Amino acid sequence: MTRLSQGGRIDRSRMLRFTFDGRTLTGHPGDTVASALLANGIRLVGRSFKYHRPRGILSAGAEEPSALVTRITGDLREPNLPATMLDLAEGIVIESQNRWPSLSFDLQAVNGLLAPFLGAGFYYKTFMGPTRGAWKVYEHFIRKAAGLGRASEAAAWEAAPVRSDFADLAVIGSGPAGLAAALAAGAAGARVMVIEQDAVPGGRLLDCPEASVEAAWRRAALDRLAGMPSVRVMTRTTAFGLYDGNFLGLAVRDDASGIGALVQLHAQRILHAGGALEQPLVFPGNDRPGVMLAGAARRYLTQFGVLAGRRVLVHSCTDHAWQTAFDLADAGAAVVIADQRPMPAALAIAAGSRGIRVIDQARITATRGRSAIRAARVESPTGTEWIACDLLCTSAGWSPALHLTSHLGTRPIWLPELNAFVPGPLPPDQAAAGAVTGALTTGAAIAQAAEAVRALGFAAEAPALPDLPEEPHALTAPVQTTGRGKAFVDLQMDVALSDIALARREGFEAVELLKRYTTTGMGTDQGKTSNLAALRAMADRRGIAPAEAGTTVFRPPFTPVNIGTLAGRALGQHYKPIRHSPMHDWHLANGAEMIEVGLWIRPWFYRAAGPDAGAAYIAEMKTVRQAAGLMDISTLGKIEITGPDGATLLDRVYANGFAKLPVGRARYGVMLRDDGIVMDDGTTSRLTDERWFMTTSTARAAEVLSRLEFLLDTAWRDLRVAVTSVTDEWAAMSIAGPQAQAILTRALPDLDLSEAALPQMGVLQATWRGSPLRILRISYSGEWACELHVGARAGEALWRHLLETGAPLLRPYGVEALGALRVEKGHVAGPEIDGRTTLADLGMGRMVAKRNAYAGHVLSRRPALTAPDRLQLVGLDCLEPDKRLRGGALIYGPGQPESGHGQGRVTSVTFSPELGRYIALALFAGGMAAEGQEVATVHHIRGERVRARIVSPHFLDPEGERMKG
Amino acid sequence: MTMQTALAPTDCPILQADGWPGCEAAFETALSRQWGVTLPATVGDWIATTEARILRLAPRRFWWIGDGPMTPASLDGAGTLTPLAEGRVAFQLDGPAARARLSEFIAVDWDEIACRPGRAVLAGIHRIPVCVLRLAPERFQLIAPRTFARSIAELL
Repeated sequence: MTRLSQGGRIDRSRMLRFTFDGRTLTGHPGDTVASALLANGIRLVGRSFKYHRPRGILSAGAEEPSALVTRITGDLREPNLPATMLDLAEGIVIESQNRWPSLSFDLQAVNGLLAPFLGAGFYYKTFMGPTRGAWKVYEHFIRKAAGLGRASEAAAWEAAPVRSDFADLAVIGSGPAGLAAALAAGAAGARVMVIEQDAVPGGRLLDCPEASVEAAWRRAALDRLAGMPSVRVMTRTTAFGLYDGNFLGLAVRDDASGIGALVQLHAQRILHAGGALEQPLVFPGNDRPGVMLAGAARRYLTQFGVLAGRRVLVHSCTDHAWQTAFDLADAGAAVVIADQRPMPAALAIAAGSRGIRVIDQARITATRGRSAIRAARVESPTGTEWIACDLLCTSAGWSPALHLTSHLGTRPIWLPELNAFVPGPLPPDQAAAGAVTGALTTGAAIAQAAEAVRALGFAAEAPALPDLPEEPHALTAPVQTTGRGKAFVDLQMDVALSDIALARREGFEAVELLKRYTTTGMGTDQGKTSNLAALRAMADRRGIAPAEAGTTVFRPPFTPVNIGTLAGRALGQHYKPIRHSPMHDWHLANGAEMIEVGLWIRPWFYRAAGPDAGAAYIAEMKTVRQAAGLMDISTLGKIEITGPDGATLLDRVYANGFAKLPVGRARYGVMLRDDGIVMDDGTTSRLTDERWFMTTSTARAAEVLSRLEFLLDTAWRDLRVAVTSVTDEWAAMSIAGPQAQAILTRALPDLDLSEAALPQMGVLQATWRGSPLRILRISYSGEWACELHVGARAGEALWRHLLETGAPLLRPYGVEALGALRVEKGHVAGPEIDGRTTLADLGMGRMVAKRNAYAGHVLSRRPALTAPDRLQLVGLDCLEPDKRLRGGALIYGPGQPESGHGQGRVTSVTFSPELGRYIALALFAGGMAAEGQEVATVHHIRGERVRARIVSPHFLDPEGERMKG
Repeated sequence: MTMQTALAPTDCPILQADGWPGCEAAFETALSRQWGVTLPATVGDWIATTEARILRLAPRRFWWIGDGPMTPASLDGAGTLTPLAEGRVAFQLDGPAARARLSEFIAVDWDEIACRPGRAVLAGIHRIPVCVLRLAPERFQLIAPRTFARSIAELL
């Protein structure tokens, strides 16, 4: 391997130092890790997945199957990075993968000796004894041995940049077709984004020497594009997925910082110009380090100034590979061409003038060399001979990079003259041009691109074609040879022709089964250099044409995307938005232990009440039952309903009637889904004849508002009603307990809070220190209680005022105590309203006995929803004082085997300080018909069994006397 | 590029006006008279007065954004007014980098005619409903629910 003294597009004036497996090496800006390794004479860069065979660098691009490395930055390990796509940076630390103890001496290479036992699907046929449980032991070791690189658990970075972007035309690829399309559309004034995965734009134009016509055209095109303000060329950017609405996911590499950015591009039109991927020939020993794609060898020469070998054998069935031979010979290599085809006369003359020996109708049937190739055995009509080489360039033709075109379901079609698949018919707002369509010459790509841009609706002019030299591009279908040694089809997954044959013998011959059984194409490279060879091999064995064999469907991502890139900024505290109540800061300053409730963060309990939730909630319950408690309920959904038809709307959406609710009164209401299942409950107050104030549960506020809007937009478009979310308008708090009325009266002396002025379910509208105030006499705990809704900006002030007025009796309490208090009273909540229960299940059937015109009514009468043996609400008394009931436990009736689903489930549990025992709400078959029965509650996962008795769910004060004060 | 952001959001009082179906003409006549302006004709358009910005949020919904009379008044039976005096806050984003910063969170093509100065868009930040008024090529007012204010400020 030689870094030539001139040539390439690297910055030779600067040197970069990097480390590979602990060895310090040098390279230049503009190098990739792969080109720098080659320049340093390193050809062995990894070990294969299964057999741990020595592997080198096959390609110069994202299709690289073998040269996968790990980048180490402090504690962070980033595995499985193609060395061909990793920009060289000062100080970069690189490690090879999948070997122990070292790359040159890997103990697991012994797997190669076990190859006969490790063929495709071996794990379906072996490791099955001596006992059924033995697999668990084998699996442990197989998992340890599997995989390529090893990741760390360190965070990759704090946050990856994310942005949305827009373009009139997204051009995927910056080869001749992509650049020509950008020129044409840019000249027409379109906003164009050119997306190029490599560090330097140009595509296959980069294979041409700087003095060539093609290179000059490239430079001129880029200069012109740079002068077009509406055109952007994004390099180091991979379009990894195409989604609905021409939405492209772009991953932008910044190898200096290592942080990957995500761009979400919305494109009006898309031009697919991603080129074609050169394919390797399949022959025994085709995986040795030093076997390289012909185009890659040319790229390393022209782009990086690296001569990848001095004694080169070029084996191909394409004209393109001959250009590689010529360029390498011109650079000083001794070259032999072994073409599978009959001698191409014109090319042979050019070869001869360079002293290149040509063998036609050639087949390679073996290779030699361990950590690097040393020779290949060539068979031809003229005989068989070993040809010494340190570089074997191979080309089986091209496979268009059509992956993105099929992400939305467009199936590829076979192009016989290319012996490969090309994109199928694209939607009107997408087009394809260049090598991706099978147009293999620069001139054809440029002409096609201009035509495609016009077809997409841009007023583009035909480009001036450069005076290009003739580009021989003939090719034939490749011949896959077998012989002594494995002929690899998929280098990354270690799949050989023998595995394809095995799959055929065992019946896995359909392309989807072939893929999954042999794992071909399932590596990080997604089979970019193997899928075509695999289906060719299977088609040959089945005696059908490759087109008939078909191809698997490509799905995003085109290349692996770092999960950190996809996460963007949604990390840590920014993982999701948090909603804060107006009293949030007070809670934090006063010892609240907070808990996430959906997007909200609420007080769980207060540390002044106890050291942990288990102790604190009981103390807080006692405070509410014996004195007074104050609870922040700002999270409740609140909806303002205004208009002359508000009563009609409410009467229709609630199962119980609202039309006759007087002004100044509130009512508990339950909404059903259209299928008759309970959706949510809450209270609605009538403020004026045409203004209502609805509260919903915290969890379903958005769902309820959405439903109301949907119904008004579709089913009930004639109703004169406006519904508006006012959750954020109001700070809300609930004061409850036997002392609550007295405390509230002292706190709000200007208001009449007597029983006459504010009866149970009464509503009072007032102001407090200039802020609007609504007081609802509503009790969730069963004690005398009021909800106070005040303008959000005054929330904390009112909260403080109440606590100061009520001190020392009035104490705050959190959601744990709130949940426990309502269990004592038998009020249902989320665990009971779980999307499976009806009104009757929850004991509220009488609420709608005389109603039949509300949403959900019809389907609520289905036989399945009215069956007498449905799970219905009951209470449970714990019969074992030293044990506790547990939510989620299953309930088994007397004499019933304690397995399976049982006859019910425990939904909500609390310890009741007043009753001195654990109680629960539950859903039990037949409901209260089983009152008095002793049952077993079993939590199978925890291994707990507790006896309980079915009782009324209204454990305390069933007559509701306490609410009266 | 720099961007000035008022990361401490300001109060954003709003008075919402909704018209009834079939009463659009009467509704807009009454509202126009009450607010003393010619209402924006197209959804997403907003106009500025000395007291407020008036936005047409939906075909039959307008926002008066600013201080002013929050007491619901008559619309001749053609609509209703809902005071939203406390539920929202506003962030101001100014400068060449304002567009780029917004693009990190919401997918709006600010080059589109529909998003020129004088227009507003409804979008979502992490599914938080926000309203962005484009005041000038590089000036934006982002209106968000009050309970999300802290989260959004930290994000910006």
